[in-house]
Amino acid sequence: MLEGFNSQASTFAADVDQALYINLVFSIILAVSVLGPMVYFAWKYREKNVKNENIENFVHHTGLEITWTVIPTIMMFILFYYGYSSMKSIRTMPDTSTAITVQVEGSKWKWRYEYPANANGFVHKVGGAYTKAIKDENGKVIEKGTMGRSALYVPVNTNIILEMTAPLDDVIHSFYVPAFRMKEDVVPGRKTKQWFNSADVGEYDVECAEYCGTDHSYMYSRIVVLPKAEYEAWFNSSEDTPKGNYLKSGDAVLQQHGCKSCHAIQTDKILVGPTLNTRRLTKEQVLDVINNGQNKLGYAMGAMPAGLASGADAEKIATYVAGGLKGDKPASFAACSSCHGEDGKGMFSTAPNLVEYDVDLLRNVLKNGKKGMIGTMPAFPYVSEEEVSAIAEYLKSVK
Amino acid sequence: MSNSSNSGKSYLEAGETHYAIGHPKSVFMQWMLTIDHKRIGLMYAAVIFVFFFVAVLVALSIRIELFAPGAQLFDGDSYNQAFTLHGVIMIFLFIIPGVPAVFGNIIMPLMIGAKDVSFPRLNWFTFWLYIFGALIALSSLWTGNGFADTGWTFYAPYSLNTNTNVITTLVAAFVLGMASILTGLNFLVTIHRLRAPGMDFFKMPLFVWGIYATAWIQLLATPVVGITLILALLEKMFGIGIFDPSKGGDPVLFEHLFWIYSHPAVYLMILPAFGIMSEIIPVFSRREVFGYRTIALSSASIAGIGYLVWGHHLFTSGMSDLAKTVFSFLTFFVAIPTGVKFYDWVATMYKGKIILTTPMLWALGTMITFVIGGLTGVTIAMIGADIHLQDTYYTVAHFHYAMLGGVVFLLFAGLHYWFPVMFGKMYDEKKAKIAFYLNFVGFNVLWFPMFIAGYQGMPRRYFDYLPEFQIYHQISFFGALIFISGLAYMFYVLIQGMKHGKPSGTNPWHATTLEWHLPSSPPPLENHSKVPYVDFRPYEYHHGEPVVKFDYKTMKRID
Amino acid sequence: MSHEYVPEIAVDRDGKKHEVQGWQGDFYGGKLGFWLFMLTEVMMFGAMFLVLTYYYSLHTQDFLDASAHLNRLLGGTNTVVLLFSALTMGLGLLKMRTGDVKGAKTMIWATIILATLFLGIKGVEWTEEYTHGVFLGLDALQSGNEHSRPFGQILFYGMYFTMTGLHGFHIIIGIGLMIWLVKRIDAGKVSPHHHILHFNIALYWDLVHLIWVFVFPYFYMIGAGDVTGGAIHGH
Ligand code: HEA
Ligand code: HEA
Ligand code: HEC
Ligand code: CUA
Ligand SMILES: [Cu+2]
Repeated sequence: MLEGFNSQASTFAADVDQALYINLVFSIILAVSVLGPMVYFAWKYREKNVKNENIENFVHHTGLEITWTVIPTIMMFILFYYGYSSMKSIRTMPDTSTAITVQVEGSKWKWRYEYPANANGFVHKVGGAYTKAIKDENGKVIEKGTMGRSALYVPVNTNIILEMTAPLDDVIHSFYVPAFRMKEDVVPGRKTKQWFNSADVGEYDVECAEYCGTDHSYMYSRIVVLPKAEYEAWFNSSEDTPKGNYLKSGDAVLQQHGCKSCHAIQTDKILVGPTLNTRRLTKEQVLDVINNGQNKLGYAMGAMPAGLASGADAEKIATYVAGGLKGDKPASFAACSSCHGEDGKGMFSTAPNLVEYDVDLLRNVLKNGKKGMIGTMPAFPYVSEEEVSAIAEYLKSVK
Repeated sequence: MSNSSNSGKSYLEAGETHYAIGHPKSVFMQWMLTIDHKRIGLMYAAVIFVFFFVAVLVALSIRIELFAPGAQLFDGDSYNQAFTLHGVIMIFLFIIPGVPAVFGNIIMPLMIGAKDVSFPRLNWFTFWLYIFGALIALSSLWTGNGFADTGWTFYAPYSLNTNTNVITTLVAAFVLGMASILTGLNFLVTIHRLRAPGMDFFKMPLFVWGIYATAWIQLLATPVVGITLILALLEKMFGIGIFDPSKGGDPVLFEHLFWIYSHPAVYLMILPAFGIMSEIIPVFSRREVFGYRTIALSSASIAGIGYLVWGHHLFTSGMSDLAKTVFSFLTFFVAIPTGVKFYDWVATMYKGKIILTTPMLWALGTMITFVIGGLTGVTIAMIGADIHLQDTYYTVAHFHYAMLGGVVFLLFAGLHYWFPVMFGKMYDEKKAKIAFYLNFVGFNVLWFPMFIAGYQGMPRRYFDYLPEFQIYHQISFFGALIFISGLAYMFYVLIQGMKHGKPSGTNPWHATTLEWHLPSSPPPLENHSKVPYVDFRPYEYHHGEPVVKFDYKTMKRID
Repeated sequence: MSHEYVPEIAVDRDGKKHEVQGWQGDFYGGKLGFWLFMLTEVMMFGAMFLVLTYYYSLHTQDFLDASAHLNRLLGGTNTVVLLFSALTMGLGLLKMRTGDVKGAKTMIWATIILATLFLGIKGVEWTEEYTHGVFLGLDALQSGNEHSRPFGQILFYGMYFTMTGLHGFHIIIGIGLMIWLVKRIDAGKVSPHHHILHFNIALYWDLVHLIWVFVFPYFYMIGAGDVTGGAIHGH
């Protein structure tokens, strides 16, 4: 998503955009006030047009000089004011009693979030540096390893305060959320703060904006803004991830569990571990690696940590990986495949290839049907929005 | 130094120079040991453009890498070294010495009627110090664990932790800083002491004012970064923890010390470049400059205010909100004298006769690009906006518009303008104009899309990026290709001019300042055969003709 | 530059003559240049004092403790030595101006001896500190081991060695310059009429002692109220 200015997902984003807008208008006025006359003079007094005796040495004009000092100065004061007031709305911390305070730790090259204890005394720790899973003597996982699962789950319309720091032996990072227009450095040995309040349920990118070395470009995380009930349910559980339908495709699950931070998905490149772009593993094998970890292929990193995902998520991932990284086919697609083929690529003289269809087009055709050269596509007016997007997602992945 | 003959031979001819040591016979050694400011300036130019070329090739590889998401040429680590190399060369080896070392050396003494700078031997020493620093910088490419990967800003604690060759790079930056200080010192004394009789401060050409303001920045700001680099070095070697948080130090202090120098440094780059603009505009408008005093004094006030605004690089560093507010407020005040300069230049064109020669085209083109660069600087001086835009491509586009579209473009303008003084020949005007248009278009296609990408949240120093930004990077890549062709063509035209150009005569542009009133072109050793008495302002035109005329034998006014 | 420089004359429109200032033999230019150079030194040490002040405000007690362990007796002696050397240097310049070349040379030699004495005392001091384990690169000034001192102290000593080291380096350069000066005097290149070199070296020496005048109280005296003061105690 082009989050930088297509969405204003935090309360203060509008203030920042207003400041930028005023700046744009002023900049255009100032630029025209310099470049307009320049271009005009260059044309009006061009060599051919001017006789030497018409040249005038106009070297001083107090009125003009005062004008072009004072007016821009006033404009600068106005811009300063808007810069200042938007800074105020970004930087004025809400009352801690009405806010959720999350501890954020940035380290090479991961984000980690630690929540206050919930009603059951359980502390959610999400993401962060790699730690090995702790197992009992039978090899059963007692405590899960952590790596990469770094999404910050927050409820909608709530003040969230982030108290940020980096480990002492680490370097400076910067927690940047373009969709929220917010950024603050994360400095080892210091505690910096920022806050936000988002009114839009959805997922937003977090980027590291202070150069921090090798994987600076991969130091992403996500902020997932959940409906309040969903958030509460998750927060009071000891689950890794919230239940709910906000994640649609297998790919997003991979992303969320941080598999991508070690495994290439699209290419055959070897990152920390081998590429997952392979069909040679069965679902069971993949599930086994996810549950128990593995350390036999001799990668520098050594082991693949155990227990990065569990339960339904693990199943979903395993299916996805074993299926050659194609979106899992939604049940409702059965209705389509009778005409469009198992893979949606169309059947000769029965139905066209659907692969290029995007969500909007699909929705339209499904709701209204379509009459074309080959025959008639019936309308399916009762398909749910989720199903439309699941189908679209699937089609995208088989392309 | 016994040889002070003024036989009218050009300073470029064999034997026509003074030496630091001895009296070498070979032409090569004559150049190596020369203390003639013009020759030293030319040598700077040659070396600087070679470095520019290297950094440009690195820039091109950066653009190729960014052509698509994922790894093309580089992995993360080598990309990090690439942009560090690009930044370090461009800043420390190319643009900071840039205008002062080349035109400050070649032209400034001619302009004030001096026979050389105040300390010609020091000047020679400084040049070799610069070369020495450059060699240290380059040596780190092949020694140790490869070139530094810290970015040109060397932020602690990253620069303390990384195992690449940061030490060598820091030493190099320190040595280059020394060279810069000594150049500034030399120019300050020269301007104070060696002006031709009668030329008071307000009769100096505006380029000299630019060099003068710059020299003060070189002198006062560079030692601070020098000592900062030394402290970082000691830190790396002995680990006393000045900037290292794991030992109790404060990394943000490093940022402050770094920018206390490096912000004034950006004005150190632009002020002499503005000086070039102030020379070209009146000459090709064939009239006196508008607001001479305000242009001169605005240089001084930009240099002065420029010391107080370094904090605008730290708006997201965790600095206190009060400090941010003060720094932001002060930053806006730099824009005002800059604006005054621009209005004065435009007013200079009013009722003049605009002659669109290549230098004038470059100057007018720069007005457009620098206004964009400067006004986007004002955008990020707004704290709220900068919190969003800091360390994104918006900032990257801002400083390329300011440095490339401001300083480098004006350097090129100067290169065309003073070409006859330096070589006594003329390049092909028509071809040079084509080169300008290619550059101008290429430059804008290259950098304008980056404002939009940055606005949407594309962070800088990323070798891989989200696919959404691809389109901007691709447009930018094509811009880079056009720009490259333009630059290559421009240098081709200039080199052709150097070799086969028509003799230009001493004053082909009908200009008024003293560097155009020399006995020959290129000028002889020790410049003006006789120093004129200066009782006139620098740009005196009457009805489009220069007012002041000299009898070149006696250098007396004959108008 | 064996022959005397003959200034050129520029003539204005009224036929008045004006002397052109050449770069050769420009006494005031040389002086100005050197003053400017001194200014860069001030900026450099100034920046370090700034760093020091900043950390002093963060780790005041550590700084006071560390300062209390410096050897104020040797430091104080050195201050006196340096003040005297500034005096001899100044007297030397006065003598040069009044034409007493021989007296000037004696004074320069006296300065050189005092400067060497300063370095000697400094050496004794550093050795003493070294034997107590307090030196750049030794365990006590490295965090994270059993001997390490508190962070503020590490920083204090780190800056102490850096700055006194840099100052000592300036003294060594100064001695070199003075020896060179004596040679130039012997060769007749520096004379009562042409003593810019002497002047600048005297100026340089003034700055070197001026910096010490700041270094001394800053490092040695801030912890002087502490009764445990005196020589460094090992742990
Ligand atoms: C030649 C170099 C140069 C110049 C001249 C400038 C000029 C200015 N710069 Fe820029 N800047 C850099 C080089 C330069 N800069 C570099 C290299 C960096 C990044 C370093 C890094 O992080 O790697 C940077 C970064 C930078 C930042 C920090 C961004 C960040 O990291 O978040 C800021 C913030 O305030 C800033 C502001 C300004 C301002 C206000 C000016 C002003 O001086 C501009 C004044 C000019 C004009 C305003 C235009 C002309 C005038 C008019 C059209 C008249 C009317 C207008 C008015 C009166 C407003 N610059
Ligand atoms: C003077 C300063 C200067 C100049 C001129 C340039 C010029 C260019 N820069 Fe530069 N750039 C910096 C200073 C400069 N840069 C700095 C300081 C940084 C920050 C580094 C950091 O983050 O630490 C930076 C960062 C930077 C980045 C961001 C990297 C990142 O953050 O990930 C990029 C990306 O595209 C880039 C690209 C370019 C390009 C394409 C050009 C082009 O415009 C150059 C194109 C020019 C040509 C293509 C000319 C070719 C010329 C010839 C072929 C002629 C041959 C010459 C002779 C014969 C003598 N630069
Ligand atoms: C710490 C980085 C890391 C993360 C995060 C990670 N992996 Fe791995 N993975 C590895 C490494 C290293 C190996 C190779 C282990 C070995 O040597 O056998 C591996 C191996 C695998 C294999 C076996 C491949 C083969 O060819 O045998 C599968 C399947 C796999 N990972 C899936 C996943 C999935 C699914 C996730 C997300 C839940 C994930 N990995 C997250 C590091 C990681
Ligand atoms: Cu973390 Cu960049
Ligand atoms: Cu700045």
